[in-house]
Amino acid sequence: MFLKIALTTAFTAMLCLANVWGQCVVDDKEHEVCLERSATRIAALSPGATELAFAAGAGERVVAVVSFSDYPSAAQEIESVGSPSRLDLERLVALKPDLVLAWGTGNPSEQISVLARLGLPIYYVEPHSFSDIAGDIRDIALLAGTETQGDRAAQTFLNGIAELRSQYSNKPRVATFYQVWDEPLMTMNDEHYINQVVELCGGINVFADSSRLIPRLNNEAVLIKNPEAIIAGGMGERNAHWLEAWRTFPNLLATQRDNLFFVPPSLIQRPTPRLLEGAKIMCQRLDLARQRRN
Amino acid sequence: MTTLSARSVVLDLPNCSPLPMSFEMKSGEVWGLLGPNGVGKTTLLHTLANLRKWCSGNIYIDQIRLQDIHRLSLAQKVGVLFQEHQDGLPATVMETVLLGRFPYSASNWKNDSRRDQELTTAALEALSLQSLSTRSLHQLSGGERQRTAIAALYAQAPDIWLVDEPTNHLDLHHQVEVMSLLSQQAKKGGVMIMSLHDLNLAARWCSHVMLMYPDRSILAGQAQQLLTLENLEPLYQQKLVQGEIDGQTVFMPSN
Amino acid sequence: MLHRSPSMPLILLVFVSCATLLFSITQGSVSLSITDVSSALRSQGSQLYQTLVWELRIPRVAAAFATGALLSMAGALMQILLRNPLADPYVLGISGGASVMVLGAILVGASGIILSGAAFLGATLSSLLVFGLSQRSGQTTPMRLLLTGVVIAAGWGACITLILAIAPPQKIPGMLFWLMGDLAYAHSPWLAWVVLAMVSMLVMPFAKSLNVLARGPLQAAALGVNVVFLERFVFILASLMTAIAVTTAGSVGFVGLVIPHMMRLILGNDQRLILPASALSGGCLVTFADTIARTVIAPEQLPVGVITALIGVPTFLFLLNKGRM
Repeated sequence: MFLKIALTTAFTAMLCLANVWGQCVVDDKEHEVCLERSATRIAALSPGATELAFAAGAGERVVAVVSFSDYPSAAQEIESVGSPSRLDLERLVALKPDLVLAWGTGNPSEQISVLARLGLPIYYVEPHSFSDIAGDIRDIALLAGTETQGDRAAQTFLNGIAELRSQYSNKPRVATFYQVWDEPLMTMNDEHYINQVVELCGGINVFADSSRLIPRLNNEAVLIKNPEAIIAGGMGERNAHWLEAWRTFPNLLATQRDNLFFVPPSLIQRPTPRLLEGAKIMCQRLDLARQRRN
Repeated sequence: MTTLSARSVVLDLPNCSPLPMSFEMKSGEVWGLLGPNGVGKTTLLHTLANLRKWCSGNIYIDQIRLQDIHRLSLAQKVGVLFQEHQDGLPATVMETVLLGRFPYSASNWKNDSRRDQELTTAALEALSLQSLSTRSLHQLSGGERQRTAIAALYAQAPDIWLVDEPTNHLDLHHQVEVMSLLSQQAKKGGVMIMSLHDLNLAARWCSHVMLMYPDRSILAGQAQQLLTLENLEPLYQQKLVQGEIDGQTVFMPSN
Repeated sequence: MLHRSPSMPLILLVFVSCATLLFSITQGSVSLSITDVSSALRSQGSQLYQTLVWELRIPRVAAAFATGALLSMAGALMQILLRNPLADPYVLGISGGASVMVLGAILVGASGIILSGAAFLGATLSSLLVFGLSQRSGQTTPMRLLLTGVVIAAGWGACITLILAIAPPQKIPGMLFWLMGDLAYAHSPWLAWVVLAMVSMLVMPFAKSLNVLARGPLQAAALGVNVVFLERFVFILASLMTAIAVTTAGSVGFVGLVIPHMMRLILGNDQRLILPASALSGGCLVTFADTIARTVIAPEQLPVGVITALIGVPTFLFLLNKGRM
């Protein structure tokens, strides 16, 4: 009996030694997340986190996603654990994740703290900048042991952004209004990453100095700012009807010059590598606005 | 033997300061409070049950000051029939009558004693409510509710009965039944004090009356001596005629 | 009520409660067999099942039961206090006050126990406001009180909209939880159970006096009840229970209204029976509703308030239509 215990102990110790892999990263909430072995079962609790995990090359290791995780299409095959704001904890725990990619402002903190209490490692995904996006991809890749792919994806993303910056950011400024939502009318201030996209493309966010991250506006505020270009997302990927409303204001510079542009919201309102595509479209649109000055 | 007495009591009535009143009421007496609307009959009854503050003077039950008696012992001594029935939550006739026993069983949380149950049954019988005992108060007519309230008071078995308009809502038959029941209770040793609008009920059933004038001191005493046209006409500001039918004095408004 | 043993319906309800609790523990978005659950309950078998049962299901089911019991008892007490079967913490704006305070606390960045404190403050403030404003020349008519409550509830509604409008977007999901009534975020059921046990022990000795109070304050005073004390006492307890229920599960409507009413229809009007019966069946209703909420369209989770309202509204209309109010 004693021998058996001794043997088991020795065996376990050897296993541990063999696995001194140990990786630590710092997440977007400045918490240190350490794993003893690479994550093989990842729960991605926001559509953005799912995209980042796939970009990091860890897509095959994602075992749980949430509603609206529609990209890449492989993500739609993965089991859902409910909506991000109301998780089915039971199903999530039953999937035995060894890494949880949580969404700080989208998942209820009470539910995430239950997961933490159960001993699951939590990595908060909350990128606020281009470098945050690249950093998150690298971190996830590191935790999942897919560094090569992750580094490549992060580098491609950063290179693309740098290219856009050198191409557009020194061009003449375009006063831009980005419409986040229609009713109520919403935009964002300069703390938001979409503001960085606007600046990257040589635009100026007309509401950059608002006190709130996502200010609510009325039409009057937009008319007074008289932006040269209006860029809107929409309810869907092809639905540009929000822009039609601006045509009722013929004195608006953007309306006069027909600078009412649509950028598919999934390409810009999710801080993921696809933001590069969204940024490209926005830069081209703003450039079009410049050309229409003559 | 119970005595209820008031020494220079001034009632707390709005916008008039009534004259102080003094009186003494004893077991076996049936008192009728008579007076015009708004003179304070109901206020007096509530004051005598310590449900309402009064301005000055003292009220005694058997020489003990009213406010010195613990509320549960007071509820064993003094029972009130309210003129307006407060519409409470739903309850059956039986439940309502049983509540009359609360002052005796308040400390006995679990069950109501056998005596409580016997008295409740007796009260239901005394007011011929047995057939209605499981009905909800909301389904009863005004007269049936009035009889339920009187039955609850009967179950409470107080020494001093403060009864506000006992014949409200009652048909003639039940009026007679209730009045004779109340005067029986007085004969058994209770002090019966009732406010009445009907002079003839007072003349027939009350041994004593209190005439409450709005502008002068009350008159309290034997019914036979006080129920005269000289006293009653200024009380109601109404010309009256007096007659005698079947050996009973009756009063009628004159033309 | 006199002739039947009053403990019989209670024994039955205790049995039903146990059955509901056990049933809810066996149900979930992950299907576990009875044997799985029973071995997990005995801390045997798969580690995963033990975690599911002990860490996720039991705390949530316990929180659901306590919330329902607190709300029903608070509703039953308020209905006596106002002598109006339409009174409940939700209708009177008491849970509205608690929600506004909690939302305000979230807005300035508070969390944890401070939220419970804020909810209690809001519930008490709201009740004081309702009771204070509805008094005129020292007398409170139930109708006036109810009207004041309804208007104050509307006022809280406006405050809630205002706070939601000015709140930073990342705080909105947490706030919506308080408004919808949701047990998904219930962290610990213990506070609710402690308060439930404490209040039950405090209020049950007064059950007989409450029967008298239900006939009106004047009648109660004439029968020897200390009306002023009892009304304040009941009022504080009802506010406390509402506050704790709101901190546990947000503002869950209709439980406090419908359950005491149903109990009165079935069991009569004796508070010695109605109060514990309301607590037990309120607990059952919310536990059952929450079980539906977390399984019916799993993995999507519904807020429990949706289910209680969906059950409560038609029941209430049915009762109203039968003319029993």
